[in-house]
Amino acid sequence: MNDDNIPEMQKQIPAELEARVEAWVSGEASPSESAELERLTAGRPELAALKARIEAVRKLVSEAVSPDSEPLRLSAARRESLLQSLGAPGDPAAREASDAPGFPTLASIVRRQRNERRWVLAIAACLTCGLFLSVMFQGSYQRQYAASRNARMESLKKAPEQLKLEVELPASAAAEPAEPASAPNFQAPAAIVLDETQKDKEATSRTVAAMQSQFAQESAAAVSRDLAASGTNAGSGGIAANGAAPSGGGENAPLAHGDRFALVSGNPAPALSLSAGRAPRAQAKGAAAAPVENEEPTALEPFVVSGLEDKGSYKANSTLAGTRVRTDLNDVASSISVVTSEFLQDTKAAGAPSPAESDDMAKAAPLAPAKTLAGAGLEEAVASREPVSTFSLHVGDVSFRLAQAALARGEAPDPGRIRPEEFYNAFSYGDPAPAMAEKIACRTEQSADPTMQQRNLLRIAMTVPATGRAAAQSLRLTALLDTSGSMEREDRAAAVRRAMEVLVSLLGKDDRVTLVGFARRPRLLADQVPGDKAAKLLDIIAHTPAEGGTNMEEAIKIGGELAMRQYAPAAQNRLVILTDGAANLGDADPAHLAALVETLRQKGLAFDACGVGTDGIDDSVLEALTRKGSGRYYVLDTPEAADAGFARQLAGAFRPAAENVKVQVRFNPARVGSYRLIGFERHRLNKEDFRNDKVAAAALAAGEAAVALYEVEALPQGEGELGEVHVRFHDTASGAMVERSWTLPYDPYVPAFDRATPTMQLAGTAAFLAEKLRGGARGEAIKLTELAPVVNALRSHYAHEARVQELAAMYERMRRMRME
Amino acid sequence: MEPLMFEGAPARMPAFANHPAPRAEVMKLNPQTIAELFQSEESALLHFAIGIVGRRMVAEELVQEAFLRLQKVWGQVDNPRGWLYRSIRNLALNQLRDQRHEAPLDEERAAPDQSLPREEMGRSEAIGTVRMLLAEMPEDDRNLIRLKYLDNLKYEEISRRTGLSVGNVGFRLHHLLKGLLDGLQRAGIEGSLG
Repeated sequence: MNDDNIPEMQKQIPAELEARVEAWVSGEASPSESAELERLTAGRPELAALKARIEAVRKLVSEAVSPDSEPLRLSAARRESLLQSLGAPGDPAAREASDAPGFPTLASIVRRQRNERRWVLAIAACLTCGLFLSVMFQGSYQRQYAASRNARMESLKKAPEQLKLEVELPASAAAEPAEPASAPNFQAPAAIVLDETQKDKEATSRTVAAMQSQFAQESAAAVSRDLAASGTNAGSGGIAANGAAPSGGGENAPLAHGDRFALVSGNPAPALSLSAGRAPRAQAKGAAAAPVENEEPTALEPFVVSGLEDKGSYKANSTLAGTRVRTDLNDVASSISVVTSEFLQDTKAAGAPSPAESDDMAKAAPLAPAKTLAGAGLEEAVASREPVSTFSLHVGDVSFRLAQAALARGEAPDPGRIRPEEFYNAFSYGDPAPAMAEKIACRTEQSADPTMQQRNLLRIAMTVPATGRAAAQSLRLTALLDTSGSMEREDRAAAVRRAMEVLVSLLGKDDRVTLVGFARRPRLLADQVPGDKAAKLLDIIAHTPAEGGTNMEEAIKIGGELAMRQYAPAAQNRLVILTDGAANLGDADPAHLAALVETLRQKGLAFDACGVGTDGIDDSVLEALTRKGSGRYYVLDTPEAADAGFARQLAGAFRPAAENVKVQVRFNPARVGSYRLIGFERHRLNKEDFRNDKVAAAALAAGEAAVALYEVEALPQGEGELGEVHVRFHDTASGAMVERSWTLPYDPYVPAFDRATPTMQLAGTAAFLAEKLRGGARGEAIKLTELAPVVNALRSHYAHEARVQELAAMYERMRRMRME
Repeated sequence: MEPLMFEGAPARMPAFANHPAPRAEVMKLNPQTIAELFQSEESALLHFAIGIVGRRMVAEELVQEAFLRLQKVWGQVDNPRGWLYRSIRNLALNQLRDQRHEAPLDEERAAPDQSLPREEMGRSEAIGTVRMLLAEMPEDDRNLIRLKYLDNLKYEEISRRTGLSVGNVGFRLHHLLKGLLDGLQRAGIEGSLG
């Protein structure tokens, strides 16, 4: 699909072509391929240059891995003393072994002569050194070292006089027994006076080296075998642990339920009256374990969030909402939060039906308020007019990774693909996990906004407990695998294979997988395979021939039908698409595809997408589809990317701990002048959707954290706190809707950005880079040079976090490209 | 700064006489002692140091210095080999920087020493840098590079020995080579690549 020569690729050599040139240079290309490349190279000087560079570096590498043709050694005296201080027995052992058959010495005459000259100097140095050492016999190593240094310098001047000692030395050296532990132990000169001896010695050391390397190989073999074994153990251990979790959780479950209900009933006056919305997904009900009460909202008692004690975060003494901030909903129109035009486009929303009109969920989502502005979400909202900001708490990192890949290719990323929330959610902030009894934890912190006067950055992090019990739920997965020609590319095939391996490793025997290959037509490759037999899918994929075309529409339709055939109300029912390109057959209209997915969502099927490769995928379509399908969207650009993080994302998709996660921030107009949510433009919801459980929202996996970042204008002369943050979600463990709230405190002394916590700096920097890449007035206001100190601080603070280092590298690239 | 050890794997493997040799013959175990490390890297490090400072005597001093420093932190360094190469490079660059301040002394000292021709120096430095980058790679990657560039095996043969697919071998080798190319550029060695 992407193999055509797209004009923009001409500027930069595409990675794929690079790989082909390299294969050609290393003689792996077929004759026809070689001819083709030869022809290409002749016409394109940049390819010829690439070829020359590849050849040069190949030559360097082969020299680097080979042993030196002229092995060098330290001068004998230095070598000896060094070996002694390193605790090695020195050369005597080597000399003893010299009878063993060795490799022939290939030193040329020329080299020998050169060596002789060197050895003369070396001998002189040894002798002087030896004299010194015998004087300073008891000296510590430092003294020895200093002595040899002095000796060497003197020897350079005195060399001629000292040469006459040469003859005497062998005898005296031979007279001394080999005592590795004693300091002035000078056998080495004996070995180096004569060229023959020297040759022997070289031979010897090679023999030793050969023996060592043989040993090394054997033990390496053993180690690698062992590692492999432990790897599998770890793997199966992991699976076993996964498998064990549900049963353990199951035992705990009744207790937890009991607790909760005790809590609720013991709560004399529930402050929240929740609309009794039914959970939209049928599978949300844990069939047997969930009593009828589960469908009713659960009000929880006030709680305490333990934040870190450092500056910038706080202990949120919780309140239930609504006491300080007035949120009267007199005027529904004014309460509607911002919805972007893309959102409208994606949803094909035409009118604004009210939730009450229909049971149909698609229509129930009031997505098209009349007051929507183009570019909304980029503008600040005035707190006195729109005090409430509501959005679906979606996590992902695709936008960050696509931008990173584009920058690495030397291209400017498409501003339309920049989603700031996927930048700052690409990192792990180590936010505290909730306490045992809690369902979710919230940490907030603030700093001054370095890019805008009078604004603070506010980071809100929500963390779900790691001990999700949702794993008890079985999975009905329908995978739609793109089998078009471009997926045959080595790296993509490898990435998909790796991804499928990870996927298969996450399945249990109660799970079912249906595999559909699609190109021009969808084809059923495997139907309802039990999870424990899913490994055979790998073979099926390997033997599926490629075709041309990508008919996403047909694939989604057929996939939906197949998925419904294996639909189980109590299970997670999901459809996942793996593709590397854009739909080009059938009805490829994004709005149409989104509508298809939305229809499936209503039937209880979630939709995930895995983009393969970063250069050809249709980001906006996949993003919209997964948003409509309340699913995950991730990219796999290399087989290595299918790592622990990927497994976590998959597990997150398959076993969400919290579904339909919505956040609502209610600002206090008495304290906040204006505010702006950075990113989440396509995930914003209407104010009233917060408690409308029919409006679908994103999911969080066990142990996962999600971050939202606001720019807030706090009025120093104002009154009260900044406001409150509410979160509402469907707890898959209990099947109940949970709602929580925390106060956002006003801090008159927020730290400057460069003195803020590393987590604040990291989130802020990621958001600023995203805004910069997105351009516009907001991007213009951000000066990359001013971020340099913070980026440097991040680089050292997160020295072991590859992602953060990537962010820093991205920053450097941006600076270079923008010439700031 | 944890010692190089894989969880679950015994620290030191006994020689397995009765087990068939596995396929990854070229994978060299990291030397267990600093002395072994010295034996195996002496020549390469000397070449590297000479490549940067250009003078044998100074280079020897740097190598000695690097090993003595390593000895002090032995056991705390994750990857002693990579550490050594980095140290040599840093020491050598420091040396070059300090050397400018002692120019007069240098002239008389440089005379008896063998200064290498410029291009040979550049080459040694480049090779040393490649070795440094190799030393910092994961063992599996280094092994792939050895199979390809030391044993000159075809992708198919490598695939057979490592159990990776042919496509994966080509793909990984390509990325490794690109990584090396980037590393060399960062180290300022692009020029010698023609």
